Amino acid sequence: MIEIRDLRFRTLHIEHLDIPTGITTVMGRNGSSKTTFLRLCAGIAVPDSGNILIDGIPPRQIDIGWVNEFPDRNMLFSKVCDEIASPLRFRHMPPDETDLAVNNIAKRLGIRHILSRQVHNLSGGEKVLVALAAALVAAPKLVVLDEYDSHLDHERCSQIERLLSGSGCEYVLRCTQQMDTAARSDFLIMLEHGKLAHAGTPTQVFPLLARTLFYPLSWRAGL
Amino acid sequence: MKIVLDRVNVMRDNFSLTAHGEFSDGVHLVSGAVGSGKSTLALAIANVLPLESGSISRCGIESMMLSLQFPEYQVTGLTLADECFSWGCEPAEIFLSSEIQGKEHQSPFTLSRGELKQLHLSCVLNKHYDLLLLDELFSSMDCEKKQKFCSRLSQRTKSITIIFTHEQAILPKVDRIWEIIDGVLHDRGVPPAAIERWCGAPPFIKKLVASGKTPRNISLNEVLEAACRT
Amino acid sequence: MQDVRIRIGAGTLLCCAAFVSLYGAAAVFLWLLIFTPRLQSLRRLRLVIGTVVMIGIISLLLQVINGSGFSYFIRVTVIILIGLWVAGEYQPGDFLNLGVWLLGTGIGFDLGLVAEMGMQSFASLLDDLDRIRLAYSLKRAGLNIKSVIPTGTLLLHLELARAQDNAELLAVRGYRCGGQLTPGFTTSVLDVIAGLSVIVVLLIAVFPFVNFLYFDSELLRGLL
Repeated sequence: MIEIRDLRFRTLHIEHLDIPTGITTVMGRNGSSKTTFLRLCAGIAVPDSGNILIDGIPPRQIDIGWVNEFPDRNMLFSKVCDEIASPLRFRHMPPDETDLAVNNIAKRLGIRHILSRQVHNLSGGEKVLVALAAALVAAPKLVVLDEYDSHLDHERCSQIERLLSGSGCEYVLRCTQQMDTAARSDFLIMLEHGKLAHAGTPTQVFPLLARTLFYPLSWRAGL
Repeated sequence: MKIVLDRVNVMRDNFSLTAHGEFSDGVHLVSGAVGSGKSTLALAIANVLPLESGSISRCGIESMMLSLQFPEYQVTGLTLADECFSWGCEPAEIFLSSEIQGKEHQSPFTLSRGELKQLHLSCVLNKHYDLLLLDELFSSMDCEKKQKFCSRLSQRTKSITIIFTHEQAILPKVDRIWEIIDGVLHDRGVPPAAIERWCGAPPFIKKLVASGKTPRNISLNEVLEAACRT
Repeated sequence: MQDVRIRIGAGTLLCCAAFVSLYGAAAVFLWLLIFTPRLQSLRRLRLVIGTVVMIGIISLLLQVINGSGFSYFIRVTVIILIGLWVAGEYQPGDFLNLGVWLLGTGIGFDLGLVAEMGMQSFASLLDDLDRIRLAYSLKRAGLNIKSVIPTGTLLLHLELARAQDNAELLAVRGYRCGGQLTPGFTTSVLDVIAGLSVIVVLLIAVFPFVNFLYFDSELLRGLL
C-alpha cells in the first residue's frame, strides 16, 4: 500500500489516502496539482509536511521509474542504448549484466531495432517507449508516468497500456486526460484545486462524475 | 478563400510527405499517427518549411497563424501581460477567458503546461485569421477545456481552420476530414460519409460505424446522439 | 577520425603547434586539409563566420598596437578550425568513453557525463534559438535589438528548465557518483596515420622556435 498522511506541498493538501497495488490513475483539471502529486510520490519533490510511504518506505529509498509528459525531457543521453542502460550504469552493475538487461527490456517493449539509433531521430512514440524502457530496466517497485499519452496516438497508447499491465511493477501511478484509459485502471484519484475530490475504483468514482466531461465516452455511449 | 496543394512534396530529416488537395472555407481535421507528418504539413502550409517540389497557393488569404504543438516554443514575453501583448491581445480579456487572473506580472513559465496551452490558445483564437493552423490543439488540456475550445472553433466564420491532431475523444464539428498515412495526405471528404472512410477514426467512432450508427459529425454531442440511436 | 582518443589528443597537440608559430599554423592547416572532411565538419557556418570576424577585429587592434595582428589572426583562426573539427566529429558517447578510459569509472565517468550533457545542451541551445526565431516571425516580429533581452532570458529559462529535468532524471535513475561502463572505440588505419602525422606537424612548429633559440643564443655569446 502507498500510504499518504497529511501531505502538504504548495497548494496540494491530502489528509489521508491509501493507494493499493496495481495501476492507479490520477485525474483532474489543469492546475489541480496532478504533476505535483506525482513528483512527490516519485521522490522528486519533498513534502513541506506529512509523509508518503510505499510499503512503509519513503520514495527516495526505493527504486522508482519516472516518465515525463514531454518525450524530449526524458532523455539524458543521445543514444538509445545508453539511455536505457543509464539506471544500471549508475548503480555500478557489471557491463555484461547491464547489456543483458537492456536487451531484455528492449525485446519486451519491441524496440531492439532502435537500440543503436540516436534519440533525436526517433518519433514521439518511440521516445516514450525508450523512456519507459529506461524507467523499467531496473525493475522498480513503482513507476510514475505523467501524462505520457498526451502526445501519443491511440495505437501507441494501447501498446504502452499492455506493457504497463505486464511490467511486473507493483505500483503504476499515472496521470491521463483520456477518461477511457482511466476507466481501465485499478484505482482512481481525482484532484481538485490541490485537494482530494474522489478516490476509489472506476465503478465507484465515475458515477460521481457522470454529469461532467470527466466520464468515459465508451461508458456514456454504452460501447 | 482556399489553400491549394498542388503535388506538394516536403522533406524533413529523412521523412518525405506528399500532399495534393484543396482546403476551402471551414474547419478541417487532419489526423494521423504520431510521426505521420502532421506537423510537417502544418509547417509547409505556414510557409515555414520549404517545399521539395509542387506548390501551395493561398488564395484570398491575407492573414495566417500557426499554433505550435508545444506552447512554450511560442513564448516571447517575459511576463504574462507581455505575452498577451506580443499576440496583439489585451491581457485583461485573455486572463478572464483563461481563468488566470491575478498573474499578470508572473513569468509564463510559472503556469502549468495546461494553463500555458490555454493562455496560448486564448490569444490565438482572440484574433481573426483568414487561415488558422492548429498543431495538436488538445495536447495537455483537460476534458472541459477541450470541449470549450471545440465550441470556440465552431464559432469561427469566413476563414479556414486546419486542426492537426491525434485526439481520440473530444473533437470539434468539422467540415472535412483528412488523414496522413505512409507519408501521403488522403482526403476522406465531408462527414458523415468521410467518417466511414476514415481509417484512423477514434475507436468509439469505429464501433458506432460498425454497428450502423454513423454519427453525422465527430463532435461529442453528435457522437453521443448517434450512440443513443436505436 | 573515429577514435575519440586520437582525435582529442591530435586536437590538443595541433592547437599547441598552431599557437607556437606561423610555420606551425601553416602545417596544421595543411594537416586539416589532408585528414579532415573540411567544410563538412563546419555544421554551423554562421557561427564560424561570426567567430572569425570577432578574431579579425581583435587582430586589427593588435596589428595597430604592436604589429603582431596578422600572426595572431592566422594562428587563432587555425585553432578555431581545429576546435570546430573536433566538435564536428563528435559522436554521442565519445566523451563518456574517453572519460572512463582515461580516469576510470569514478571521476572519469562523472567528467564524461558532464561533457556529454554539455554537448547536448549546446545543441539544444541552438535548437531553442531557432524556435524562438520562428515564434517571433509567427507573431510578425523579427529578432532585433529590442528582443535581445527577452530572447536571452527565454534561452536562459529553457536551459535552466532542461538542467532541472536532467537533475531530476539523474536522481530518479539512481545516480550518486560514477558509473560502470566498458569504453568502446573504433580505430581505423587512417586514424593512426593521421595521429602519427601530428608529430611531424609538431616538429615543424617547434623546430623554427628551437632554431631561433639556438641561433639567437649563439649570436648572443658571440656578441659578448
